[in-house]
Amino acid sequence: MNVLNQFSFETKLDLINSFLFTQQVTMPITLTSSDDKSFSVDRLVIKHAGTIETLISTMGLEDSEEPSMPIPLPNVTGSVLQLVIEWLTQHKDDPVKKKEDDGERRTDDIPQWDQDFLKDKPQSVLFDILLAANYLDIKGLLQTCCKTIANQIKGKTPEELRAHFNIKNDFTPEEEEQIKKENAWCEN
Amino acid sequence: VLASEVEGMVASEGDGNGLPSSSDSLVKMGIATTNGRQRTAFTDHATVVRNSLRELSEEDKLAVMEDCIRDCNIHNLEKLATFIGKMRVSRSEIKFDGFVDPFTILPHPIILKVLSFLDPVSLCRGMRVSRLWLRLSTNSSLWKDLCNRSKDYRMCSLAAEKQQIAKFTQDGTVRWQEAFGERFRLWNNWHSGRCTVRTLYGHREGVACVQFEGDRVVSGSSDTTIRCWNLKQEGGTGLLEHTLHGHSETVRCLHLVKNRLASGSNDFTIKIWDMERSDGWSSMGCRRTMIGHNNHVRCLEMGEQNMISGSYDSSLKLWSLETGECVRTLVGHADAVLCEQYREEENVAVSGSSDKCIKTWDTRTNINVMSIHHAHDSAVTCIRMDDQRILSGSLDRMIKMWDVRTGRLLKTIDWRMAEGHTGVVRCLQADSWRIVSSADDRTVKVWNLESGERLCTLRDHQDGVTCLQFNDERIVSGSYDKTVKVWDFTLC
Repeated sequence: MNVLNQFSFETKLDLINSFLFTQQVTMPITLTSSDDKSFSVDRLVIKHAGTIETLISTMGLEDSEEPSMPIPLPNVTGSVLQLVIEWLTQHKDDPVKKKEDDGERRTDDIPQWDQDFLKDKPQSVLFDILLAANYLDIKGLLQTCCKTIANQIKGKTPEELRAHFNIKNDFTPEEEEQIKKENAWCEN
Repeated sequence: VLASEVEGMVASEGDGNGLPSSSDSLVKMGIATTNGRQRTAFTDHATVVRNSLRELSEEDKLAVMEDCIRDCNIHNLEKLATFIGKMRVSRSEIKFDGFVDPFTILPHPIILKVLSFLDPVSLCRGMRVSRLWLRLSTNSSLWKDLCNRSKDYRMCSLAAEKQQIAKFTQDGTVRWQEAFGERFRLWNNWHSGRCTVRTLYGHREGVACVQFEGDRVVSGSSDTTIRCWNLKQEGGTGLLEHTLHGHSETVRCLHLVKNRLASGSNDFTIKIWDMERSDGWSSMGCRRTMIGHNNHVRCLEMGEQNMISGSYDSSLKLWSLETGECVRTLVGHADAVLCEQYREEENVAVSGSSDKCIKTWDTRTNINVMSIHHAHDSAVTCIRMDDQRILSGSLDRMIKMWDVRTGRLLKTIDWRMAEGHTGVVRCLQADSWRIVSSADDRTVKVWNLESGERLCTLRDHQDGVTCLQFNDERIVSGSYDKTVKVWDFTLC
C-alpha cells in the first residue's frame, strides 16, 4: 500500500481499475479439441485468437464470473491445440494485431522464440499449426508459419524445390521451356 | 547369412528413422529363431559377418550380396524384393525429411499468403515446379502486391507508376505480372548500370544544359544555339531536327515543359520558345525575351504561371510567363546564384550560391524562409528538393542531404568514402528513390536516395558532364565534350 502512496489519485484509481479488470478477465476458459481433450486457459492467453474472442463476445461470456461451458474446437486436435496454447501463452503480452501489416513483406523478422518453437517440428505438424492458426484467426502465429514455409521456398531452383517438397514435375519439356522463356527476366 | 546381409544394410542406414528395425526385418524374412541361446549365437555370428562386410569396398560388397542373392530360393527372393521396395520408400522419405508438397495440402488462400512473402525471383522459380505451383504463383494478386507494396522496384513517381500500369491494362484487366516484369528489369538495369548509349553530335562547343520530354531532347551550348533532337529517328547526327538561334552568348540553362521552352544565357537574357510542331512549316521560335538580370542567367525553372531564374548578379527573379514581366526579385545571396528549384504549387523555391549558402524562399512574399550557411566548403552548384529533403552538390565534390524544414544535415555522400565524384559536382537530379549526379570527372553516378549507396557509375563522356535529366527509361546528359548522350535502360 505504501507503494501506491507515491501516485496521484487518478493514477491510483487507474491502477486499481486495471487490477480489478485483470482479475475479471483472468477467469479461465475451457477449450475442447476434436479428440475431446480439454484445456483450461487464462482469458488473457487467448486474446490473439480472433475466432475464440468473437465466440466469447457473441456468447456473452465476457462479463461472466462463472466458469463458462467449454468451447468446442472441432477443427483442432488436442496435440496441435496444446502447441497453439504454448505459442499463445508465450505471446500473451504482445499487442493484438487488428489487421495485416501493410508494409514490406519480410521473412527475416520471425521472432527468435517462434523460430525455436517451429524449428524441430516435422513439416506435417507445421501445417497443422498453420491450419489451426488460420481457423482460430491467430494472425501472429499464421504469419510466423507462412514466413517459415516461405523461407523453405526462398532461394531454391525449381529442381531443388521439387526435391525438397517431393514434387513430381508434371510439365512437358516444351511447357517447361515456354515458362522458362517467359520468365527469363527474373534470372539475370 | 542372407538375413545378416540385409540386416547390415539396414543397420548401416541407422535405425529409428521409420525404417523397419533389424529384428523386424528378421521376423519378416521368416528367419527368426525360437531358441534364445541359439538366437544369441546367431546374432553374434551375424554381427561378425556384417562388420566384415562393412570393411569391403562398395563394389566388393555388391558382389558378395549378389552371390548371396543367387543362393536364395524363390520364396525368399520375393520377400527380399518386397523388403527392397520398402527400403526404397523409407530412404526417399529420409532424403526429403518426410516433406510433402505444401500446395497440395494447404488451402489456396493460405498458399497465396505464403507466396506473398516471396521475393520475385523465388516466385518465378516456383512457377517452374509443377502445374499446380504455376497456377498459384501466377495469381495476379501476388504481382499486384509486388508492384504496390514493396519498397524496391519502384518507378520515379506514383504518376509514372499509374501510367505504366495503364500501359498493361486491357478491358479493365491489369496484367500485373508483366507490369512487374518490366519494373524488375528496369530496376536491375539501373542497379547494375546496364544501358545502351547513344551519342548526339552537332554542337560546336560544350553542352551546358539539357532537357527532354518523351522523345524530344533539347540542349543548350556555348556555341550559343539550342538544338532539338528527335530520339525516334535512327542514326547519329540525323537525329537533329532544329537549331534555335537567338542568344548571343552561351545558353546556360533550359527548362522544357510540354511545348514551352525557357532558356537563360550568359547574354543576361531569358527567352521563351514555342516548340509546337506543325506538319507543313515550323512554328517553332522565340516568343518572348525577358531582360532584367544584370549578369549571366545561370538557372531557371518554370511553373504553370510563373518562372524563377537565378543569376550571377546574386538575385533570383520571379517572372510572369503570361506578361513576361519580372514580378519580384528575391535578394539575399551574397554571390552568384548557381542553382535553384521552383515548386510553384507549394509556393517554394530553393537556391544555392557561390556564397556556399542554401536558401529556401516563400515565393508569395519574397521571404527567405531558411538559410543554411556554409552548407559546403565551396560554391553550391546544384540543388533539388522534395517534401522531406534538400539535396545539394558542390564544387567541393560532396553531395549533401538536408532536412527541408530545419536545415539540419541528414547525410553527406563523401566522395572520398563512397567512390563519389572526383571532380566538381555539376548536376544533380532525384526522384522518389534515386539520385543521379554528374561531374567534372566525366562520369554520371546513380545513388540510392535513402541509403546514399552508389548503384552505378556511367562512363562514356570524354569531358566533364555539365547537365542531365532522367526518368525511368533514360538519362540524357550533356558535356563539355560537345555531345549529348542518351543512356537507355529499357533495351537490355
